[in-house]
Amino acid sequence: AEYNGYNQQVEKEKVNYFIPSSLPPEAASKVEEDAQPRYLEDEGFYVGEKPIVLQQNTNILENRLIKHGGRGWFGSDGQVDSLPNPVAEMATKPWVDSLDELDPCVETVYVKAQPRNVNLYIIQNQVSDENELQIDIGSINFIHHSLMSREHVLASNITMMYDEYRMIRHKNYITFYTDKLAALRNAVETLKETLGVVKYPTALQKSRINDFTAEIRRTTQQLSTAESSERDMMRQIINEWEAIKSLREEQGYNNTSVRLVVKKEEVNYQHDLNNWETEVAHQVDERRAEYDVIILSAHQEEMRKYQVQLQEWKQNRLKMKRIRKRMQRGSKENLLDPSSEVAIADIIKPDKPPPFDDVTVKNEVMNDLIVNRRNPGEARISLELTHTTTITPTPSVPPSEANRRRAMQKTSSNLRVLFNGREVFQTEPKILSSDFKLNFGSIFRVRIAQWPESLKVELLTSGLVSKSITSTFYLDIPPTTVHSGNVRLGVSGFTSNKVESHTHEGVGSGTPFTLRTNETNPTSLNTKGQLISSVSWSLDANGRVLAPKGLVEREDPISGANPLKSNDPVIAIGAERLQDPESLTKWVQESRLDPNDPENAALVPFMQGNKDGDVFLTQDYFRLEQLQEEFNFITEEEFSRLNRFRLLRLRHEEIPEFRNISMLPCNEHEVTESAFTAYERRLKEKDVVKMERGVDGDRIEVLKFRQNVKDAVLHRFYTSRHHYSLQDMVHEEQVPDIGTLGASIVKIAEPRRPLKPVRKTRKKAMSQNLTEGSVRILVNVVRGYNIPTRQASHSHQPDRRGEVQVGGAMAASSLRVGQHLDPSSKSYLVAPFVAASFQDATVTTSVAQGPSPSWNEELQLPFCAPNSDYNASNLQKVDDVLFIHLFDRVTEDATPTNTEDTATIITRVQNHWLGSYELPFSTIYQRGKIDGTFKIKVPPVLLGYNLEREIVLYRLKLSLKYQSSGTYLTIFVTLEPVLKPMDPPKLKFESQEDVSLLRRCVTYLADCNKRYPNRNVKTTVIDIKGESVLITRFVRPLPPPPELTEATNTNTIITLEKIARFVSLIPFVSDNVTYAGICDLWSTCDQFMQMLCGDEEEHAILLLNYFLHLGKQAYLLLGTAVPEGNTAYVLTVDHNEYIIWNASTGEYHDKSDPHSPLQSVGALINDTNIWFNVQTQDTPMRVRYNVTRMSDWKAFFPITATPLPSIQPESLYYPPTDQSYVANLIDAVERTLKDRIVSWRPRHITRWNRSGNSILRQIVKGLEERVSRKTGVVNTGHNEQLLSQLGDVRFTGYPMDQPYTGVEAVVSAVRSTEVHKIQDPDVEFSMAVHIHAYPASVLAVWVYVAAIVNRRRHDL
Amino acid sequence: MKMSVKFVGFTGKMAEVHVIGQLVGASEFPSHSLFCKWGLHAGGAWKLIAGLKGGQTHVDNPENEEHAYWSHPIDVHYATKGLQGWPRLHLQVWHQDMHGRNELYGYGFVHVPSSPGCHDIECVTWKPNGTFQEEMMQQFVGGCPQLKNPDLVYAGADRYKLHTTAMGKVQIRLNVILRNFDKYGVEC
Repeated sequence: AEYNGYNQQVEKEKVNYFIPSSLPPEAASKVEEDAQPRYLEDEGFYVGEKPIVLQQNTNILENRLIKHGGRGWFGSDGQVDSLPNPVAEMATKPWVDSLDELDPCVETVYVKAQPRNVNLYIIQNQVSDENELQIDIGSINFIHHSLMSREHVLASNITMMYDEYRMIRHKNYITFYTDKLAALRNAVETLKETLGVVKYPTALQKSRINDFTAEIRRTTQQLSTAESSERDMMRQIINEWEAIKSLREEQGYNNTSVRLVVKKEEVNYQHDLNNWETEVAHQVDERRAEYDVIILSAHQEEMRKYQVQLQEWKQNRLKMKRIRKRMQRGSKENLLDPSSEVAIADIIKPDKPPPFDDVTVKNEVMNDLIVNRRNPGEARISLELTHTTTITPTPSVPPSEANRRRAMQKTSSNLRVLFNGREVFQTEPKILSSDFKLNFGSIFRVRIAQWPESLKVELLTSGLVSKSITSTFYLDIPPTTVHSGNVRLGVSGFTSNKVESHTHEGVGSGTPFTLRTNETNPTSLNTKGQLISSVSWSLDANGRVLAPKGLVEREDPISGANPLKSNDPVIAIGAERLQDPESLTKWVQESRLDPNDPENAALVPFMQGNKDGDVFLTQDYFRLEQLQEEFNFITEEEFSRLNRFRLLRLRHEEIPEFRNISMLPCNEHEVTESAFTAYERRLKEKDVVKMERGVDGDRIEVLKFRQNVKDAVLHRFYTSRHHYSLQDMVHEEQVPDIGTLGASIVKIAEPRRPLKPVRKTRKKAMSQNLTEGSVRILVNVVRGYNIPTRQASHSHQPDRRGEVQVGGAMAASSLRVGQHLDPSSKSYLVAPFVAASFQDATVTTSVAQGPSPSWNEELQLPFCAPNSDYNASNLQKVDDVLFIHLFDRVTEDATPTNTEDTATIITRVQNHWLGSYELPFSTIYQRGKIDGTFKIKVPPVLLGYNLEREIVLYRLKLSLKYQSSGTYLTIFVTLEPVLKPMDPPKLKFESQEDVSLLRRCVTYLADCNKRYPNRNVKTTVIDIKGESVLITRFVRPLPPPPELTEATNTNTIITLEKIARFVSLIPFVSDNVTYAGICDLWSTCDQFMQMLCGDEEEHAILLLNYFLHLGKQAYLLLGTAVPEGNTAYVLTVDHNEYIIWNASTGEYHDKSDPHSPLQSVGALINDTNIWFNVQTQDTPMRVRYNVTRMSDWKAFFPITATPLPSIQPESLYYPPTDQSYVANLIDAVERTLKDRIVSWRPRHITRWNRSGNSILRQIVKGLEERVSRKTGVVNTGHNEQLLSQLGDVRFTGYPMDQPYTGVEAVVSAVRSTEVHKIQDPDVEFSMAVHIHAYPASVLAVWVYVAAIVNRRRHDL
Repeated sequence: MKMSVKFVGFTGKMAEVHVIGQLVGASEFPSHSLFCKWGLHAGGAWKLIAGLKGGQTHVDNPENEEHAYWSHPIDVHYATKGLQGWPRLHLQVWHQDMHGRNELYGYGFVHVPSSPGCHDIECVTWKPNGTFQEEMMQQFVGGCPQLKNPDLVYAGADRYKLHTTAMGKVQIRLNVILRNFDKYGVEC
């Protein structure tokens, strides 16, 4: 390296290095050759702020750029091209000082750590306190409307004028000014008096007087204008009234009710005259005083000025003269001083004002008074506008007017409110009233998330065909201080420019018409009106105003960052007061904003708006999911038309038909429309309740009501179904502790006892493991008692054949009370077997012999759940019924007797139905197993059978007087595997009851359950609305239908039987079926009568209430029974005779009856109290029923407590049942049955025995009467009757009765008897149907079916 | 994923998205014994056609690990008529203290991945700061300031005003299956 000296170094560097100068470069070198710098800013373009750089640095940069020839770096203005300053003025993360300023959007709330129950597991999209606008639309008054007649126009005018007049009158200017005047005058008087004393008034006092006079003058003027304007107003009103009157006369009818009443008030002329004169005198005085003060003093002042000026002028002149003289003496220049000349001209002597002329002034004053004010003696007039004229009714008006009125009635208007340009609601359409008012009177609440920009109201008028917008106007957004507590209804006016003209009397709007006949110029009015409404912010429960918390007022540090500002140009530029976008457009046009400034970019649409009118209205805000429509793959309709999507969605929504589809086709085309047919049909049926044959309005109503209740209840309980407990989810084996270990050790040491098996609990199957066919119903038929036996054979009948043939004169045995029995009858033969049928499958036991058979057989029936859904909620809804039928197998010869071949005997097996028993699946499902002895429902008459044989003998032997008669079967029914019944929802129901009462219920129940956990007791039950109600409220004496009690002694057992029969005829539907998986719902008696279906409780409550009405001592008995499980019966107490009524079957038993279905007694209830059975025994036979014994019964209320008011109605209404409907129904049922019987016998000819029909019809009519009376001997004479009519026949047949629920129920009951299975070629059928109609559409259906074989033909 | 220019019209097929996966667990939280409430939020064009779109995990309290495992299944099936409002998963991590009380530990949200396949996602969470007093209370008696409006977690531009504390991470594994998107001109 070579060393160079410093200077040398510098020299070298100068050559090689370029050091840009910090001096400003020449402007010319920065722009294009021969071009002037161009300043865009001056030309009106928006340039923006450039970042601040030191001038020196800029210069260095520029010099350097120039040196490198980079002209392209410079803009046309000679500055380095640079972007506007990118640096924000404020920090992006401002510190929030205190919580008060926190944006409500980001507000946090401190939540304490607390143990929560699990039901909060889904993140709830709870909406934080929203803002709510309350819009109260009161009414609309039309000032003008196109449908107004001329009279209406005038009336509207007069009404407006009258309103104005009333306002004036209300303000009472005249009195006010008169009083003021009097006061002023007084003041002046007193002042003058004091002045008189003082003699030399000070300037202040003088000026006060002057002030007063001026004030008086002004007031006088005001008084006269006020009075004159009032008089003008009255004159106008009267003119208008005249016009109305003449118009009415001319057209000959009245259209409006306005009527002007002119009230005149007589006045004292003398008094008036005095007043008048004083007034005149006063005014003249005042004028004079005024003249004195103003004119004279002014004159004096002017005079004084004049004097002064004159003096000056004179002096000047003297001076001038002197000067002039001097000038004349000196030089001739400046001979004339022009100024002096002017001065002379200026000074004019003021004229003396004319003297005060008393007479003219007085005349003036008097004229003024005459014109403007009430003259002396003139009556004081007041006007009153009333609406007392009667409007001429439409029939008596000319057609054109009638047309107008018709048009008015056809025109309905409603208001549509648009919030930020989006419709939020519409009012109900209203028809114009005759005085052109629309009364809406509706309050709407609008929950808003955005700051309100506009609140537009559109008045829609719907004519005959279409709707049209009549007028559009804006309501003001209230400031945040206005809330619903302090807002008042305000008036906002609107007009419409729409041109309408009518051919009828309506004057139209915007079209010229002549208002008055004598007018030449036609007037043209636009529709105009006032909306009376208010807009305010709602208040929440704590009285807080639900307005956005100062979202606008607060200044945001970053411009445009506020969502409101960025969204809303109107607020961003600070013009938030302009809430009417139309006026905003105008404002934008007027304020000439820079369109290139990005700050104003948002407003550009407004600026362009003036090109094509109101662009704002076409610009629709749709901020929710912007541009969604544009970017959609497919449209909504196409989307919802996709079958696969529909299928998936319906499955997701758990629609029953689709819920269990596990495999869905993968492709759209594989899903067929047919997948939806069932569902769509159901939807249709839901709308239109099935129009069953013969079902009339009553039943439809009932069905609808039931459907409604069901829907409501289901909806209410839907959410509660998804509650799972830990036990549902986690199966946790118990950890063995010392106790369980010890027990298991002891178990090992225990002696084996194989003869004493221990019942093992079966494992409950989970629903997901179940498949089609894996569930069976096991029916174990153990034995039967007291099965009806065949009657002794006909005397001349060969034994082999005559087993079933009806004996000729054989007296039938009596039924219940049956005292005597033919001891000679030897044939107790019967070959019974049991058939169980469920869901179209039937299985039978083997045939046993004798009236007390023992089968001990297990029957298995397959069970399949609807839609293959084995979920608890679905199984709950299964309404299939397990039928257990008892048949007698009869074998008879099929071979004709006269055949040659005697070696072959062909016998025909025939099953004769003896009785049946129904067990709803829901009961089996709920209870798991059903074990017990049940009474078989045997028809009251079994032709050819003895019903009572066995039992009567038995009874005679043992004289068990309490035992009831009937046929019994011991069966055991269960499901294999055991299905887990759904737990009742553990919900706390809302309740209207007192809190302390509810608390007592809980403790009472807990106590009861602790002592006897298996006894049935209830304190509160859930009514049909889903609220818990105290059970005693259901009890209230109610009168039964009068038909049942009349003509008999009300206290006899017969009446009670009748009532029980009536109650039992109301169809029984278990709550479990109706309100699937919900819980037991109790309905009141009126609801029960309306729905005409219910389960044990409803029947029991109704029966109890009837009994109480009859003055019986009766209780509702809660207990357990077979097969129902927990149930409700009715207990009546009559002189130590305790009768237990099963309200749903109508049967009754003595408490000591061993065959009573009631197994245990849990509690007794009446309208005053609930008693829990605390005796060690709970079988009905051993319970002591004296509820007053504290040691036996634990009462809920203390004895002194007053009974709670009942929720039952005071009385029930029993609408009479339509007899023609019943007749039709009989016909329909009979026809259906005949058709069906024919269709059940496809391979045989079905013949009907007509004479048999008619006999049966006669018999069947009397049956209901007999059964309800139970006077015994029901079937006496049936046989005789039939035989005498038909001759030598043999037949089987029985009457059946059941509550009417539908034709299908009757058909299936008939089918279950298997009458149609008789194969004898000669068989003929007879059938009769009778429906006994009780009030309130409670119907008992009797069907008498008989199969008749004509023996004569047979025997031949 | 990109949207190609060519647009195929109505094809009679719907675009479907299956999201199958699990909330694996959480880590880096101040303490354990955590559970998570989750929800899927999708735009208006999206229709849920199978599965649950929200839920809550059990409480996991591992004794010797700095990690909570839930392995909570997510299995949803969406049909959509547009791309907007792609589903996103929002989470709330809660802490159950030794007294069995629950307190919020963090909010978080992630978009469901838009490309098909298996995705391991880590969602960071945060919780809002309260006032000094609230912070003190939190320290000693538990509890946490919570958002009044939980939507803020996945919506709203106002969140910048919040003061928050970073909390731990939630591990999510999602398998995304897309169907028929190509029919509408969306290439995955």
